[in-house]
Amino acid sequence: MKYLPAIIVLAFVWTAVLWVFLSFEPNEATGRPHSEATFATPQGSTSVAMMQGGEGGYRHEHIVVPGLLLGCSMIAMFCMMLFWVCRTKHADPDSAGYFWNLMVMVVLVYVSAFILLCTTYQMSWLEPTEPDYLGPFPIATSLMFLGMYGVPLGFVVLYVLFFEDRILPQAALEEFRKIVQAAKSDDVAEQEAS
Amino acid sequence: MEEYRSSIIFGFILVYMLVCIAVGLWAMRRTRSTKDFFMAGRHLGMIVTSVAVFSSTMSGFGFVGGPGLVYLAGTSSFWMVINMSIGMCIMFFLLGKRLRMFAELREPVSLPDAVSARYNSRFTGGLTAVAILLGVITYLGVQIKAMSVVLFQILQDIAWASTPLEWCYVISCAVLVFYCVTGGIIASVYTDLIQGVIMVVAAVLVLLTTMATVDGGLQGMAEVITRDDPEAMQPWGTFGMISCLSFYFIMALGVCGQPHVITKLMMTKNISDTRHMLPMSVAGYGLAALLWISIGLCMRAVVLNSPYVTPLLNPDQAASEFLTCYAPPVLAGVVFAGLFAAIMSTADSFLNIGSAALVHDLPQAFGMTPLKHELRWARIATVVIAVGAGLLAYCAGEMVAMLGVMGWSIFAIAIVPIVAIGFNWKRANRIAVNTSVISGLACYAGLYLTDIRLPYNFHLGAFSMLVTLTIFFMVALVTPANRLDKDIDAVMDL
Repeated sequence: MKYLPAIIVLAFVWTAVLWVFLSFEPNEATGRPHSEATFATPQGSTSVAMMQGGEGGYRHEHIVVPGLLLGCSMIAMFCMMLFWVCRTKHADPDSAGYFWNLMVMVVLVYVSAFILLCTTYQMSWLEPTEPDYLGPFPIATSLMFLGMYGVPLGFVVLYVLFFEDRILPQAALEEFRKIVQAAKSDDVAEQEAS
Repeated sequence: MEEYRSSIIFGFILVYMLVCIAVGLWAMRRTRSTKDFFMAGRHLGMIVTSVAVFSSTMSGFGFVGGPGLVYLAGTSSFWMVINMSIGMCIMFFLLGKRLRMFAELREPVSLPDAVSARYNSRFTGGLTAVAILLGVITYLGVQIKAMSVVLFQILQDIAWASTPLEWCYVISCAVLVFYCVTGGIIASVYTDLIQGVIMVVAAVLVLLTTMATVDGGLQGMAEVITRDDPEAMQPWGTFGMISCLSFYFIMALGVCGQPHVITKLMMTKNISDTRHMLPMSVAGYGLAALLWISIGLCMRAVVLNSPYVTPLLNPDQAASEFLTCYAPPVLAGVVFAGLFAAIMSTADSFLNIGSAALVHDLPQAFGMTPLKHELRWARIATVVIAVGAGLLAYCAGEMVAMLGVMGWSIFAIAIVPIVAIGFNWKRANRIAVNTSVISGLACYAGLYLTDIRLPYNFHLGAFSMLVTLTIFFMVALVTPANRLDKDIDAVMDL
């Protein structure tokens, strides 16, 4: 039962991967050489130097759901690992609820940002050449920076703020010192005996 | 000033290389034992280690291959950068405290040493050493290749210094070898400090320059690229969603499998330093990555926008072309030094862990007695590895970035289960790690060598990583846990 969350997350990732593998893959789903040969393969080049994506809706329509599932389950896997190592017997029980609530909140924002990114991208298929901008980039691209790079910074903040409570409590540090001391004195005793 | 551009750039690089050599000589006086050579005597400060962590992560693959990938495929390669915030979190949460505790408890001189202690198995330590050597040769080859290509392009513009590419390989290897052989990891981390600072300054200055190069700054670039191909500026770029997500997976999870990065977590003076190292490393990497993003976008926009600009023959030329043609000479000098910094800071770490694997870990795995004069042999091994990697890089034809991803994948497949998970999970046993790592590496090699393309270009490394993790987890659950040494058992409870 203890390992159920990990098994579920792995099962979701595999489901998404197999779903993708079994989905129809249109031509040029992963890009094509630039339509102008001067950019794609300038004279003297030995491989493709510039690519184009083509039509977003056409190449992504078969993987909208499995792609979303893959992204969400990957995020779940990353976050599960963080949750897993934050359990410690030395933590202050009074602040436990507060800490876990904040962790869950960051996870929810992280997943929501990914879903929003996908949805905004799909909306851009309607007018691909005139996307709306958020900052210097099209909205979905900005969401990629803010959501996929920015939101995990919440975990960085929690790591710093709760370091002494969750990552390395004072009691754990003291216990560690004792273990090192005991190991060293065992070594000395062994050497003397030999 | 413009007519001296090449000489100015060359001057900056020369000064930079001389500084690296000087640091090597200084560090040699502080290197008295193998522990100093491989682990910096475990007395590094918080700032030095944080900078070393992020500068080792951002390599020639990032500074040369990164802009090249943006030029080639638009925003697709951004997924290799933005993973770093969650990737570093995973690394510090899982390993920041744990590896440092192992380092103090058992005083290992390398990562495979710590692995042998954790699993009480020389075979598992040896397996880690083999995986490290495999990855080192590939990844170090990338660094040397990137360094030689850039040096060649710079020297080509100086009439009296024009040098064939082969000699650029020789010069690159020679400088790297000199300061790594003399100063070991101490030289490596202190040059990392200088290199990290140069990288951050260079990246910020480059961002400002690229914004001034294209009308409308970043948004101007985005508009030009969108007019040509809207997908190139949307979040999945030209490679598409699945390809990008698989990059995100292997890069984010793979950070805690990069031995040249995680070994540094064992070298700090105090365990509690990791608390502040995480934000510093994430911030440093984030700033340095601006170069990757801005140069790639700028070059793609400039080439698309102007009929007078010659399109690049090879995407890897994006960074050097931008610096040679669009950046002011002094800035180009600083950035080229930064570029060399990125390459060398990673390469020296590889040389260090590679030589440790060769002279320390593999003999131990085969049950041999420790080599006499291990320090001397470590220095000889450093030269051998650099020459081997240089030859591989010279012969390999692939793009810098793609070779880099391959090296990254080998490390991730082998080391994430053994170290990142195994050091936190008592149930992880020898059978599970050995089976999963061998299967994962075999899966990756099989897919790669048979040239199999997975649907939607799902990255082969990401797929192999998933296979490894699944086998590891399942085998660990169905086989009994190994008995751990008393002290290891106690530390894993903390």
